[in-house]
Amino acid sequence: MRTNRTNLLISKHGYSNILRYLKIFKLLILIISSIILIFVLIFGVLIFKQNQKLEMLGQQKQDNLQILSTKKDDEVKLIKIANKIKNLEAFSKDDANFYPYYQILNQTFSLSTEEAKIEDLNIQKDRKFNFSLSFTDLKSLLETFKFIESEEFLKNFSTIFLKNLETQDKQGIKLYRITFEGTFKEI
Amino acid sequence: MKPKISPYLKYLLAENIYYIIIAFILLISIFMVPSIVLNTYSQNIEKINTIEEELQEINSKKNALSFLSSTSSKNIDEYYNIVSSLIPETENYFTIIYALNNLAELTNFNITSYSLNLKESTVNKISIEVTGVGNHSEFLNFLKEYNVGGGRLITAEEITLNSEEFTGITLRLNFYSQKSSLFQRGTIDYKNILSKIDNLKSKIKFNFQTDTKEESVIEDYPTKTNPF
Repeated sequence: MRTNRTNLLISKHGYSNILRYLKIFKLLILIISSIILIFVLIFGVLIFKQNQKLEMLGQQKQDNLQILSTKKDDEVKLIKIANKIKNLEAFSKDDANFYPYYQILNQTFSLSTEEAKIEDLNIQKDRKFNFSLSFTDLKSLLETFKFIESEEFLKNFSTIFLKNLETQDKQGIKLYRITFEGTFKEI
Repeated sequence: MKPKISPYLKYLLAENIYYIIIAFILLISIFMVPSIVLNTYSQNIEKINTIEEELQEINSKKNALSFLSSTSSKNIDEYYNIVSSLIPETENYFTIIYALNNLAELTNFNITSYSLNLKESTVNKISIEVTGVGNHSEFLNFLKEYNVGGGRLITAEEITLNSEEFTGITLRLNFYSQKSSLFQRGTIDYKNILSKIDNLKSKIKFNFQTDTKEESVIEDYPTKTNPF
């Protein structure tokens, strides 16, 4: 005759394990619930404050729009004016902006001990330039070279280099002419 | 064959059914709650930023308009006329000649001929080659004033100054026109825009008619029977 036999010791060991896992499981649920609750609470408060702010801003916007609606024509003109000024600023980028750069160059050379005479000056819209200086004696030329290498002079330029140095003989007078090329720094 | 579950396990399951349900809900929450909460939070931040930008724009307009209404010497039509004159809605050759004449009067740099440069002209830009006569200081005055001094926005992409030649100086000048748009890009400081116009106004050396209607400013110029 076959009989069903149960090893009670093995079962007891297995059940005590399950009970231990259940305890850990409950503890985990408690910890995760607490974390989620704290998370929801914090963000709940933040979202509540955001909604309050949104409501306040919406009200302010509504009030200001109401004030503006009484000056609709002026508002339209104001927008058109702003857009025209934006156009003006965009179109102005096509300009060589000659005079301010000419003044900078002139003022800088006025700081030099030797007076350099700008013979010709060409400025393009991308701030590229070339200018020529002329001298009647070598000493002035060398003094000006020294000045051109100084910080006082170079601070106005992104790049500057000597393009040409030539000497001419005009009615027995020796004439020195130097040409520089480069790019001005944006004013 | 059905797996056999011990009665004790069944008892434990029944006893802890609420924990199991809570665990199941928590499992779903872990995936859903943070995404919903964070999504709402970031959407609200975006909404606040948008509405704040709109409010800033509206406030800027409101402040500029109340600034204009609080000062009797300034009005919006005057500002509108200035910018419409500098960049008219549509191109008008007579305003170009009028502006060049203004500049010639203002600087004494005598403009002797104009010629249209179609190759460099576009829909919004008219390029004109101008030849003029004057001495060194007159030409420098012209170079100082040409941008807005004549009442039109003028640009020159390249300028050459030669200390010896002041007769027959040729300049390539650009004149612009642009249809007004009501499209707004970004937040604009309207008071700053008005102060920029005040700054331009100080450089324009002739009077604008402030009581004219829109666009009429470009119609109110002295005309010549033969502009050339």
